[in-house]
Amino acid sequence: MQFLFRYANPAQFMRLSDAALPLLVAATLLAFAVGLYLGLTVPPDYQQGDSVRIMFLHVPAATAATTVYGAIAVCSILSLVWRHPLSDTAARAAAPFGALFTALGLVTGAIWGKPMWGTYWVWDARLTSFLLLLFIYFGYMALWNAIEDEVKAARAAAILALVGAVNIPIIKFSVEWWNTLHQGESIVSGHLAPVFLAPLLVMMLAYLLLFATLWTVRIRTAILERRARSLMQGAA
Amino acid sequence: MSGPFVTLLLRDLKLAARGGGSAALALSFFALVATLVPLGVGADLNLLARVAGGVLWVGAVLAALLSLDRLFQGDFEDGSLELIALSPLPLELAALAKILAHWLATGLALTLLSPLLALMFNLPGNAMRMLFVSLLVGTPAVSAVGAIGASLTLSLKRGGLILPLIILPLLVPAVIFGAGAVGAVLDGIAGGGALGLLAAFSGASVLLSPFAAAACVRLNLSS
Amino acid sequence: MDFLATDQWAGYVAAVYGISAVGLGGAVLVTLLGWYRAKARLAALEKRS
Repeated sequence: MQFLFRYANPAQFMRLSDAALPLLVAATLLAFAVGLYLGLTVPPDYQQGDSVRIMFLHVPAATAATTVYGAIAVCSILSLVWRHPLSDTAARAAAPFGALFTALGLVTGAIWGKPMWGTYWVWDARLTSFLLLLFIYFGYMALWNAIEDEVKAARAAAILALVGAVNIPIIKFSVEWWNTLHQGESIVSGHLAPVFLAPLLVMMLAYLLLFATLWTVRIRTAILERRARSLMQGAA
Repeated sequence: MSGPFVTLLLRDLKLAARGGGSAALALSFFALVATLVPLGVGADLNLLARVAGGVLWVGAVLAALLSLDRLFQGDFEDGSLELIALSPLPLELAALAKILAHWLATGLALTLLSPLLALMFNLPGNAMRMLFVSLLVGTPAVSAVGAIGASLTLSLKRGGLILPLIILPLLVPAVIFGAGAVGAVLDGIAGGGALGLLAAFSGASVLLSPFAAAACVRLNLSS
Repeated sequence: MDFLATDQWAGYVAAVYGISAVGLGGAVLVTLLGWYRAKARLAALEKRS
């Protein structure tokens, strides 16, 4: 843990992230360029036709949405158990991106549903659980905004994030159980042809890199804002 | 240990009965929601029987949510929560007592009313029994998970607005398994599997949520 | 540019790429704006004190 605490110091984080950001930006741009090129040049699927290209944006958004929640949960544990000072800031900064990825996953999934099912919205297990995840993100962000005392807000949000982390797998399981009961169908069924695997993986990487980049910038922004606040209080 | 636990439980029940009668309010709300549904979807008895399990489950969850925001708030505002925290009773057990009191005043009352509403929804006898049992088994989860939300928002003046947003997604499994058990019986399948899952969810919620709720209460009392 | 000549689902594919671009681009924009605003504010405060 000592290793982590060294980087918990905001000044330390600023220095480290300053060096890392150019690399992150470059990697993100490269991954998007390669992923988009592969995704657009790959031959159409014999069943789905060109609509298979939607997958290269839908699935990465969905995986990024869950990854962001995982990141928030890890930050919450660090905050509650080890009082790691920067992790509250990090958790709060990550949440809007999680909500955005969830919303993008939902919208792209719904549009994909039209060619696949003939209708925009089907209560399939994946779409339904992502709709619930979106509400969970909204609740988490609303709690952060509602409590004025920043320390209390951080602790309460961390507890909520962990309760959600325990509950989300159960929700997912229950939605899947419900879905088999009502005989829904899933967007990604059967196995994926290997030609589609490479663009999919690169796009997933691109989304995660984009998240890492934006997350870093938002944490840096929050650190500057805190510095500005303490300056104001010192002056007053 | 059981002395202060029972004292707190009885006190909360008395308060629930006195302060406007939260049980009576929850019951009226539940019955009103159940009345609105046929007015909205039509009085076709077959359709009503089909949707009864889901509608009554959703109605019961919403009705139980109504009084949740006051679970800790009243005691927080008048300072008695501090006294409870200082008493020899661990805060986790105090939270459990409050959950139990809330369940007795709402969840259990809603369960007892449900056969009457099920009758009005033309639910056949075996499905009605399953609805009753599933509510009996599942509503403790609503009070337990709700207690986490209540403790998270206890310092907020308008906590009642944010509470449903936080709690309802977490209660999805209860609605799915509860209504699913009723639906299974309607389809002529034994609903035991869904009921088992519901019982597991409910039991885990009741066991774990006092710890989360107590942690939130401590954090709100700390300064 | 034959990879842009997609089949009857072209509209849906284009919509998905468009919406994703707007969403991600918006996130980048908002994040950067927030960063420069915080930076400017801090600089102004530091100059004053």
